[in-house]
Amino acid sequence: MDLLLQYIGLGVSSVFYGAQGVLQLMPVLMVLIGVLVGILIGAVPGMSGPFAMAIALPILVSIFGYGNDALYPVLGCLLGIMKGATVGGAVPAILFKTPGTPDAFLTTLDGYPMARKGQGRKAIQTAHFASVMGDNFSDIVLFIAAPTIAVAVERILGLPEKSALIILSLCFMAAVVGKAPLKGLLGGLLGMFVSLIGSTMSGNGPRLTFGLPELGNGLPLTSAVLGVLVISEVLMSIEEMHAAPSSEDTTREAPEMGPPLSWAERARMLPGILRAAAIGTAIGALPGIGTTTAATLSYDTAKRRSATPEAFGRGTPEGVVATEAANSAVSGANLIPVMSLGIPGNFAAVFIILAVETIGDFSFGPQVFQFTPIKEIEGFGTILNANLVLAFGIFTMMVVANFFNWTLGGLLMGFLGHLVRIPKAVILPVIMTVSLTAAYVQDGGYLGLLTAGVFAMIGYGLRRLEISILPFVIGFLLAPTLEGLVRGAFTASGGDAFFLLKSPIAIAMLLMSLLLLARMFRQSR
Amino acid sequence: MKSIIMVGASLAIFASPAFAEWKPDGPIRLWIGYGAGGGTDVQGRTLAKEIEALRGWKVIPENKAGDDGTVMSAQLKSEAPDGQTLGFAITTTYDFAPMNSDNLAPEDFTYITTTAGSQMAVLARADSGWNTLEDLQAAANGGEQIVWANWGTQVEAGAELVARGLGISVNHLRTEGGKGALNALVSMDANVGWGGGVQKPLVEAGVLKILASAETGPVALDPEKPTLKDIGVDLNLGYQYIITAPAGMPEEIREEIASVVAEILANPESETRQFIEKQYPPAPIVTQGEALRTQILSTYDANIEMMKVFDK
Repeated sequence: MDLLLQYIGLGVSSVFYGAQGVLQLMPVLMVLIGVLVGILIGAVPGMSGPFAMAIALPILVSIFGYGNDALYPVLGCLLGIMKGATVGGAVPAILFKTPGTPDAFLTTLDGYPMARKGQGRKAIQTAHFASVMGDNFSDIVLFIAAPTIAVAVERILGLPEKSALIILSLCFMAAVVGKAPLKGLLGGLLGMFVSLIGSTMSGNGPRLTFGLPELGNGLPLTSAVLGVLVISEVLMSIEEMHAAPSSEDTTREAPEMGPPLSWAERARMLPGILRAAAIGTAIGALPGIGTTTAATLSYDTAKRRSATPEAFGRGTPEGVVATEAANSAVSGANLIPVMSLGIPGNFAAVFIILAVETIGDFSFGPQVFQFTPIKEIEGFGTILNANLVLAFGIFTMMVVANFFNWTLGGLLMGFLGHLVRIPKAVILPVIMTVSLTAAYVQDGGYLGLLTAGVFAMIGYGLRRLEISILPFVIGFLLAPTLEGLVRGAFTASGGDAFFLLKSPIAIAMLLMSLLLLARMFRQSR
Repeated sequence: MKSIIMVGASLAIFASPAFAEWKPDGPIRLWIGYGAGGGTDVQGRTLAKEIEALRGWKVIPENKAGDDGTVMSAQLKSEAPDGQTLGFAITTTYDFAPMNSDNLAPEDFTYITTTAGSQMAVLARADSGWNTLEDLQAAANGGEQIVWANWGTQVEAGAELVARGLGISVNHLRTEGGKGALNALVSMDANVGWGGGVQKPLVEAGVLKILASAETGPVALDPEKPTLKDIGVDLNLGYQYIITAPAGMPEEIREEIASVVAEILANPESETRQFIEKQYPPAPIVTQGEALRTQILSTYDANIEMMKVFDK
């Protein structure tokens, strides 16, 4: 227990004090900037948190560089964006019935009628309160669950079980994401296939590189993800603009704002918030199921449990609470599989992992939560698990971001009603330029550009075929880990052909994967 | 005595402009053969900073990780040998890895200087109760399955040779870099592993234990432990960190770069030197010129001999 407290203390102070014990404000400042950017971006329809994170990551890396010193400011900003965006998305949903982020769509159901009834201020404050409470709730679950799961996994799971776990998560993700599970599965397999390019860990040199030595360590990650995720989306939007050029709405007047939310009303919301947050957290902890599912499920539950179900859809704060608390709770919970197992479940998590992998020698996984005794060694310094300190530092920055969300978020949301919609004709070229520059600068010049271009085409193709991008990206990111584990499990077993089927846990997980696959095939008939 | 120093000093003053004939034409790219944040990376980056401070040359470090530095080296090979592009990796990259590669040969490179040496050791978890390789041998003979964590073909072959020397059988686990091997040990995916220097904090914290040294002499962390040679396994897996360039680099460029690095590493105030003293004790290892070239080529031949055992 002492050791745990010591590590938490070190983690907290590592955010505020630099290596030499001097006060540093940069991480906190970057969290603040992240939250502000996140709220603003969240409020702009067509932009979402992960989108902003994708563009921010290369810019941040070029500002702060590599190494563990850069980790806090970069991660702080990304976490800030992630959290800010969950709050900001509700404002245009309430005032103009145009959700700023996809997950705020359900907020329009009750938020917009409230605004029409002259309760705009109340609706926005309800959304803010529910959203931040939901987020904080899931963070607390994260802080407790991630270390616990990691320690348990490290004790119980060996190489075959860890391999089986990743196979199961990939199958699960393919099964739940999008409308057609088989398409998700194909997308995931395609992602895994392109990640085969490069290093093999076999010592026999790189594979599938077409003889290009530059591809020896695989495709440049950031360029690939920017291409498949951001640039392909830009291409789709340009196409949509071309098809319907006059669809841009003119700015609408913000309606009458009405009275603020009272503390008594806030107190009455708490049970609803707790229920919605619990649903959001549970959904968020599973890979692949997004914020929208969480919000829908929570909204339906709230409606069923309500004494006045007929009020839903006509402007009841309960509806806003149910969606906002649930969709915000997803963001913290999504980091549970990331921090304890290294498995990303949504796009925000993908960028957190990407940031960590590009910048320092820190990587997520169960080994992070190893409670090494802290010892002072003469002539060398202190011995401790630096990764664990970093993990608690990351938690600290999340708490700081929550603080900013509580205070500045509430203030800022009041002003967002006046935010003029930025026309797509302006925003798309900016995004395109920034992404291509980022690919060029960060990933080795033309190789980065080419990768981004090819992946943009892949992303465009997937979107046109209505295949969800998420399994592709996560398959792409997880395949090397899976290959390492499977290879390791095989050689460590001494070349046993049934190496994956040696333990009941692994067999159970593989059977579940098979069931999911069978279900996918049955559904597709 | 004083006058000799004076003469020496004045000679150095007069001589230095003559040696400093070569100057880079624009920024130098320093390609680091390993990922960001590792021991090689930190060394390369601090060195780049100090070269810049000392000579005013702009040195831009860039990570090109993969396959023990060979991904970087394969690209370095076809650059111009004009001193504008340098590589930073370990000697294994040049005196072992080319064996398994169609497009790398030890002759493809100019070897400028080494900077530091490894502290290669056989490691086990402290809670295994093993203290020496004999304990490992006894456990294996008692039926315990031994999984050995290796980060490359060379050390895996080394592990196999040790196992054969001890008359036991082991299974191998390939990990990513030295850090991956430590993770595998700590998370109980393996019960023996190699450590080249990164093990220091975990050994001092009492999580891991050194069973034997795989250097020619004992390792600094646990000088009591025997070398592999002491117990009858004729194997030296020690390596050095090395700065390289494409083959055919003019002598004066090689010498100029080598002397800058030597000057930095000889300065007790140098950040790079202090890092090396801490991580790769006791002090920097600076081998340059013909001696270094001979070392690489002869070790390469020796490694080919070592691997012949496995062809049978």
